[in-house]
Amino acid sequence: MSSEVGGTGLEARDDVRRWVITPLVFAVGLLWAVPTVWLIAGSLRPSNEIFTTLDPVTWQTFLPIENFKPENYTNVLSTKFGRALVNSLVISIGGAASGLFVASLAAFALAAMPIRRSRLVLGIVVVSFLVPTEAISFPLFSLFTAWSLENTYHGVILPSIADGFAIFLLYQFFLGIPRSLRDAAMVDGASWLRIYRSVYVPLSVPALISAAIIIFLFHWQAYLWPLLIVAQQDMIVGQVALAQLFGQFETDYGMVFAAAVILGLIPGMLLFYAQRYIINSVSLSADKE
Amino acid sequence: MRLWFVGFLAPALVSLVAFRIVPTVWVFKQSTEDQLGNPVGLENYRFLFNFPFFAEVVQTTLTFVLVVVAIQIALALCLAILFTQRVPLARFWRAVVFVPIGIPIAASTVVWGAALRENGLVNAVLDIAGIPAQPWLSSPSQALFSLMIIASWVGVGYWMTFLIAGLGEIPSSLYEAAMIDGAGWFQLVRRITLPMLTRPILFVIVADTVLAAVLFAPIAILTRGGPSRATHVLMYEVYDRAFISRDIPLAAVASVVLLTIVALLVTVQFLLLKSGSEQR
Repeated sequence: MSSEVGGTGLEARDDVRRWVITPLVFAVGLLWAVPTVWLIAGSLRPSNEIFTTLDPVTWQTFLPIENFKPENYTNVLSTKFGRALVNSLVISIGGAASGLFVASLAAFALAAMPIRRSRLVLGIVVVSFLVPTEAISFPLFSLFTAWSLENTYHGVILPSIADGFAIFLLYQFFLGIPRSLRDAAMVDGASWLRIYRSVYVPLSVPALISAAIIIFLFHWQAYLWPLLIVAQQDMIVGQVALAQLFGQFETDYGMVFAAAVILGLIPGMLLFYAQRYIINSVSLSADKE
Repeated sequence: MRLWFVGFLAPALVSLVAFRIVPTVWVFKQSTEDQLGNPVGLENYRFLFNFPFFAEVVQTTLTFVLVVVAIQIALALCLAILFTQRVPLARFWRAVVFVPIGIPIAASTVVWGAALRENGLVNAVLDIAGIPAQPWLSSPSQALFSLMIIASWVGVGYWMTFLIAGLGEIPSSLYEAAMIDGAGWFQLVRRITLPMLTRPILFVIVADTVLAAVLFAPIAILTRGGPSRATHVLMYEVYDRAFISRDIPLAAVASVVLLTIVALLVTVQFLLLKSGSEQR
């Protein structure tokens, strides 16, 4: 029942593990690590050297010792990317907070309240959120311009305020909370709002954190919608600012790489700390129901 | 209590109706109207289907979605099994594959855009192995494949996470019982692991299909549908028609086709996996 590394029971023979699997894990890890290390190295060196140090590839390709240039970071933060990064943080944190509220209320109603056909409602909610907003972006755009929501934070957040995946995740967790706690609270005359606030929310902190991180990442990674709904340069998000820096006539790759590292570092740290939380809460097995 | 139920669900249901159902219905309606909103029946469909490039757009989309989903899920499954073996540093390497999923798509796009340049990282590494430099994104025959690499660098780690969670839920007693019966390692994978993982596998295939069908950032930033329309997928067609050439009726037709393809693929995946698991 645990998702500890190596605890799955599907173990290869010792000799296979030593001579086949260990080198394979190493090779695959390297395949993922090399672009990441190249990105970090490039963010710390002058733009032109990112490509000249590739010919040929040596250890110096991945270690910027000569011409170390950490100023790429301060330089890129003083362009419009700096302001865009703040916009991304405001949108992602605001989106996570409001999205968590909406999703936890919905999940509570579906998991804790004895209503017939609540599973059908859950199915409809989750399937409807599978409709990709990208494919319906232009009618959404017409709606939001009609409501004068362009160039605003809530205009960026609103279309994805209800996250079907977060609702499903919290629903599964809420189902695991013993019904007897709910019934005891009801005998004491607690209202449903009270049961939500004082029983379910305090008992679900790890699941709520996972859901908040998933919604945060969703907003942090959104590209098309913030590109469409924001035209004003001081309201664009980090990803759009990065694409603009990249698309300039003479791209400063040092600065572009520094911006990419910053955009990856924030969710990366979040994920690194929450890795186990998330892996445990995204399990989709039937026995949790 | 019914009132409370509706109240708790209201924010989610209202946004569902306002931001999903209404725009979807509107897309269908716009696809049967001209620019001024007069009903024209299926005229827009007839026009776009007769457009010389449109069949190619659909074909490129299908190729991209089917290949990228197959590659990503197969790799994610292999890596999930690989990274849960007891090997030195497994936890560290798993984090290395896992962490790029936090890197937003525009960031991985610009990095891979640089890595896939003529004088970029990929060709430099290939050079060590004696393989000549490839044109990647600037070649009509390699551009779509290059986009698949970009999408997979992030995608594989993401889907792997769900499958690792699923692997952890399989009781080890099942394996022990099968081993007593003399089953080898590959038999364990085929007889126990894969059937027990049907649910998570179905989930990642469906979610990956939807995401791959609407992939936009790398195309908008790196290729703009080119070279020679090699990466001009339906999602880019929708964007191009709606926001560049401002032809809403044709954008709506492309969007309806895209939504239909996604719905069909997801339905087929459900049916295939369901019949697959019932046969066992």
